[in-house]
Amino acid sequence: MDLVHGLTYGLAVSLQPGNLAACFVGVFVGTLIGVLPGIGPVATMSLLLPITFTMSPTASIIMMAGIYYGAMYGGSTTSILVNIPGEAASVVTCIDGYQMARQGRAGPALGISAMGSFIAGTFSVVGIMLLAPPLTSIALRFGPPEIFGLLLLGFTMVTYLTAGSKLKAVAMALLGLLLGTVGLDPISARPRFTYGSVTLADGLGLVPIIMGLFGVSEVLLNIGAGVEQEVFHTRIRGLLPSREDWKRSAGPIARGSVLGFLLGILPGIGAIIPTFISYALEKRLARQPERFGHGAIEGVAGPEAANNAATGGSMIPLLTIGFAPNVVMAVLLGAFLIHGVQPGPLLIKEHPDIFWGVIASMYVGNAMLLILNLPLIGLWVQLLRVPYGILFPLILIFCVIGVYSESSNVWDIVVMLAFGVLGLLMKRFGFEAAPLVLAFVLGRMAEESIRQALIMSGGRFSILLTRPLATVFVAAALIVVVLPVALPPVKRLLRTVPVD
Amino acid sequence: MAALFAYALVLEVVGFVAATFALLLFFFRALERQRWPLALAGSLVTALLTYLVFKVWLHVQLPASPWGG
Repeated sequence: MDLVHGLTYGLAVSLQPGNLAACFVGVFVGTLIGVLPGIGPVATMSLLLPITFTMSPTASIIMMAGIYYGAMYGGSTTSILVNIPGEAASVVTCIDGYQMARQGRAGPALGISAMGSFIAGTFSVVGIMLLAPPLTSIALRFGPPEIFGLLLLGFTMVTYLTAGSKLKAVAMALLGLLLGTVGLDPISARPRFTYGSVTLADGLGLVPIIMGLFGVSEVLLNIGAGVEQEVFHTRIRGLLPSREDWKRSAGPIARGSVLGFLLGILPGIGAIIPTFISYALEKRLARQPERFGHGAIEGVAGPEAANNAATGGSMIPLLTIGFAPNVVMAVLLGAFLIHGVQPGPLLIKEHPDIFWGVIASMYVGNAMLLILNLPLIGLWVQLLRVPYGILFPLILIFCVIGVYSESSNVWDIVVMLAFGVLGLLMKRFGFEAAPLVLAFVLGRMAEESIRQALIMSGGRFSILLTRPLATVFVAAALIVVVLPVALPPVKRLLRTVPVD
Repeated sequence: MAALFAYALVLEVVGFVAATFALLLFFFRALERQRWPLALAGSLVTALLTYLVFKVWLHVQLPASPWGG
């Protein structure tokens, strides 16, 4: 099926009333939770997972994806107006966005972030369309050794590219691996770390862990801190950026889109790191870098484009290989599996309606978001005035319902609460939750693939080095580990060489 | 926090609506220091509303009590 045919087919699928409604609900809910602090796309998507049981697979994936990129839009609104990032990928937007708002330029800041996100979102959709089919044919040659090599690369990227302490990220990834081994052994079905408990024999659930670490812990943190919300009271007027603003933002948006998209494809990066890189890049390229931090529109446009483009880029590994490059994609993978659909190289052939439908729905969703965001910003701001005392019990109850409805097991709620406490402690001491969750998800896949690979080779690890693709992944993983250690001495060496 | 763990444990015994009502009442009263009538009304409305939305409308599994709620 060629591209144009695929896309028109996808548009037809995504414009069916049910799918259109799912897309709308997704981007609406996404914007909503993006605006509200204390609940992010990860927790929301796992919360709504059980509700999608009754929907068609296409509609539910469309809705899930909509929540993700909708949250990226919503998060920037609060960053600009209140200086509170609605979710983590909007942290950078606070720096210049809030300054712009204080200078009475909240309108153009919101406008450019919505437009930038739209342009970047569209760009990444085109990118997926062009890149996914050829990647699929490569992915078809993947066997267990290749998958293990890729997962190994994913692990090292996740831990080494963290924004914080590498040692802490490694510790969290190891903890995640360990938690992933709880339950029945995937090959021999022998119970491990279950202590005779039937609940534990099933393994720890992904949803309770995510809801605990991302939902409950956030609420506990906010209760402890006593959230102070100071909403901007000036009226927002003139959402449309001026021609001068456009001239300044065009470059950052274009660079942010490409950067975010390419980085998004890599495992372990997510949407946060590209925003930081984009900000740093724009600051370095700017003619007057001192304007950054004092309301430079470039500092809003670039990162906002980057985080939306990364959202699209990170769909590529999931759709073509069936590999989750970040936590959000892990939840999306869960959504696929619940409906009995295995994402991966065969997806495009076996379920063209899902593949093209989801991609086309991202066009539709991006357009909806633009319409939803520009006139409705006032409404979203009103939402921020809802006192946290009313909000947090609701968030907690939604978390409880979400976890319980997935398994009908009260102990999963206890697991969620335990991880909520753990998550609170982790936040207090500067440990990130993402490496833990990713290692938990990827660990199980990695164990299965390496053991299948070893069965194939009769127990010899050399199978990882005799197959070219697997070797490339293992080597890349090694380079990621060695590079930061090796680089400084090499640089020092180069500097001692006299340059004439 | 202790209240939340207690909530999880009684959830299956007394059912979703009753347990949620008690939990919310505790939150509104003890943590938010709302007045009694407001706290009572707020908890009741929220518990019933979430029940209606999730159970009746979306058909999500919720812990049921011996008397059905």
